[in-house]
Amino acid sequence: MTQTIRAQGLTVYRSKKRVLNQLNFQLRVGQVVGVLGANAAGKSTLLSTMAGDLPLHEGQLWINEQPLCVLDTRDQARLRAVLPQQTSIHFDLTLREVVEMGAYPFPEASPEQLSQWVQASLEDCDLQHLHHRRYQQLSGGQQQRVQLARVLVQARAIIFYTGHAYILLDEPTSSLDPGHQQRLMKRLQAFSRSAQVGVLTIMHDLNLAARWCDRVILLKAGQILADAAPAQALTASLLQQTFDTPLQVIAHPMQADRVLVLTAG
Amino acid sequence: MTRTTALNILWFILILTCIGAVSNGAYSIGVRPMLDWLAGDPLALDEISRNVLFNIRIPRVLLGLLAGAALGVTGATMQALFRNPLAEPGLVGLSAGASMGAVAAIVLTSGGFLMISSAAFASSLLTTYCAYVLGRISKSVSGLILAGVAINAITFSLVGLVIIGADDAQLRDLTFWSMGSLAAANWTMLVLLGPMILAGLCFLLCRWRVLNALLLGEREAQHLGFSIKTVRVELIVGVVLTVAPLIAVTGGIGFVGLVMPHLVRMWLGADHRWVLAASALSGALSLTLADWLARTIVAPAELPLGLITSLVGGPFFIWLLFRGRAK
Amino acid sequence: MTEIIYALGMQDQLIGTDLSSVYPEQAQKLASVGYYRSLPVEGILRLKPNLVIASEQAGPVRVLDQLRALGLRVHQISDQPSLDSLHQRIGLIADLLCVADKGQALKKSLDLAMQAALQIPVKRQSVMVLVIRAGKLLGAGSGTHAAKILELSGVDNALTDQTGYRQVSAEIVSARMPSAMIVTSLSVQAMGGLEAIRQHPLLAHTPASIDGRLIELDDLMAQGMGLRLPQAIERIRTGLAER
Repeated sequence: MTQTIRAQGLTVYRSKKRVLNQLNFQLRVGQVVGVLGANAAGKSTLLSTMAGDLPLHEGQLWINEQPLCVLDTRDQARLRAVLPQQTSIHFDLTLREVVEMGAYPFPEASPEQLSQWVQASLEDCDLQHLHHRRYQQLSGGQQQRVQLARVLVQARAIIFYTGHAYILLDEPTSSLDPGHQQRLMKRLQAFSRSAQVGVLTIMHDLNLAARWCDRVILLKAGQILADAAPAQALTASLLQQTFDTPLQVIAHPMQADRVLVLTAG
Repeated sequence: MTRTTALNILWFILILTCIGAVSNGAYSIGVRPMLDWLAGDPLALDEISRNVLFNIRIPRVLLGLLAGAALGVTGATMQALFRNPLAEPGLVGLSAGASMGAVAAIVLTSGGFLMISSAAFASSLLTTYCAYVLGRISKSVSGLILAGVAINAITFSLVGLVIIGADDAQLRDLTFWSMGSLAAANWTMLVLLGPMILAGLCFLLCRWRVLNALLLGEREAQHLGFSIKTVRVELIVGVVLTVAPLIAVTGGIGFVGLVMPHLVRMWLGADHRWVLAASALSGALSLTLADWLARTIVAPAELPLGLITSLVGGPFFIWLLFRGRAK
Repeated sequence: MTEIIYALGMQDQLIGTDLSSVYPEQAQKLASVGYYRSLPVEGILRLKPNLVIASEQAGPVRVLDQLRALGLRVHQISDQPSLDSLHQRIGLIADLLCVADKGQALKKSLDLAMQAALQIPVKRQSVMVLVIRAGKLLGAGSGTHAAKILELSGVDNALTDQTGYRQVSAEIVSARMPSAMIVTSLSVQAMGGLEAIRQHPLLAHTPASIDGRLIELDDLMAQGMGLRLPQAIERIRTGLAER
């Protein structure tokens, strides 16, 4: 069972304030894990720490049973891919040029392989008909999908060379319309299962998480309130604790094992 | 038009320009004698013509190619590193440092060419190092820009101080130095500096992936596997070692490092795989052309090179402004 | 040096000069190779000269060496602010142009004119030579040709403590209080007349301005020790003798 990103006693400080407090969790390959929480609960900090941007004050983080601190930037890039919340590019790149950057950790890759990865990732994100366009001319939602395609290229490259990969996503669906949201999450889930990828994604849409995540982590003030399948983690009381707001959870009217989250009152 | 075709076109024009620049100058050497000489007649060119061609013009054109390429590539690199289309090597204190060294050499010593170049070289390294060390105080790359601004300001005042003690002749010498010139080119210089500058160029040209990744932002470049601290040092050192020896022997040549990468990006897009090579070629081309003009337009006198690059660069920037607005 | 060549009557052999050759005016029509400390090799070769006469301060050195290596006769000539240097220059140029006797004659007439000029009685006093360039007041310190002219004219240079041309401040002017000022023609033009200079805030309180002792000299006369040195001295001494 070495195909995990594992955290133990993870404690992270930012500007002298403790943002993450003794977290223990695992991200397994083949799973989609959603991280939910109120603003400033520590979600982005968690992602940044896993991505190697922030130092740990206490605790340990392992990728494939290797401590994160012994892996340099290059090694990390060859194990996991990261999608940031937003990326602005002020220079005139084409869509394809941006997506191809996903393969930069692997300069040894052949142009044919790169082409395959790019094509598959563009299709995953419904971008194949746009690939000659200039990035700056795209809408916000399209640009986000381009960044996601880049991340998928990186993931495919990682899988090619090591057999499995991890993807860390910070709100991948925030600027997408509902149609694209569902399609994207569906593809992510399929990808994670078929290609052996561990996906960790920060989300705000509770129902999207309920539908597509294998597990859900509820984060409040730097601590994990729940870490379980959506049906178990998304209860009214836990959600109330997480978001300080009353939320109702009902069984999905059409699918037996799913839940729906509604605002109360 | 594909990118490779564009590069080939640039190569072609460059070669044509070189041939033109070598065969044409203030001292007229007819086309016929040159062709005859090439065809194998060793007496077709008299001694003076041969000397002018081989010891004066060819080294000068070669220096122009090296300098233009270096300025183009380092300009593009700085613009990517700072994610700022107005960046160029002077931003980190390179040209200001070189001026300081040159001024000191001209005013405080008798100022021979060797003295001026060595002083300019040493002092440009010094100021860039200071800017780098200062810049590390801040985590982000803007720290480096601020440090560069500070160092430039300090250097400028130091230069001003020294200038107060300068007399008329020294001031004029300094003015000519800062307007830049390729006139000092000779084979010894090319042999000494050429490999260094070429090495620097190769180093930077190979870094196209890093520069592209930097366009996504430093955080994302790091996620793609490029350690930002290392990259910053590498790129700055690469730029400095390519440009400092150049400024030392040519004086300040402005605008090429700023303008050529812009033009190239407008034509070919921002992918550094093409931008770096095209900046090198177009930089070499523009400088060779500018020097050709400088040498011939008011013959027998010569215009300073920097004058021509500024005269063309200035209006060009205005054009860029208008074009940007139209978009 | 150009004026020496004209004075020797050899101007027909002159094919090129530099930026500083502005006297006599006909010389300005000749081809110019630019600034004499930044000479272009090819430019000089283009004119195909048989002989190159340059100031000992001309440069860059490698250009002169290159010209010599190509077989050109290149002679560098003394260019110091002194009467001896002027004599040397005349002699050397005359020899190079094979008119040694004309050179001798020129030297003699120069000496005679000098003597005549020095007959004009003048009181020993403190004088400042000023050049106004781009609104700035530059004063001639020691080591300049202007300072030497003052010395030869028998007066003191108020700015003898500084070397070369430097900007003069109000403090320095007040401290030195020159009893006369010499200004170049271009400066007078730039300021719009001698009266404007007299009223200049930095200079208005000097004895020179109060007494109206401002002498105008043509630029080359004031800044170079050329053949018109006797005229310069004559102008200065006449101007100082007037009351």
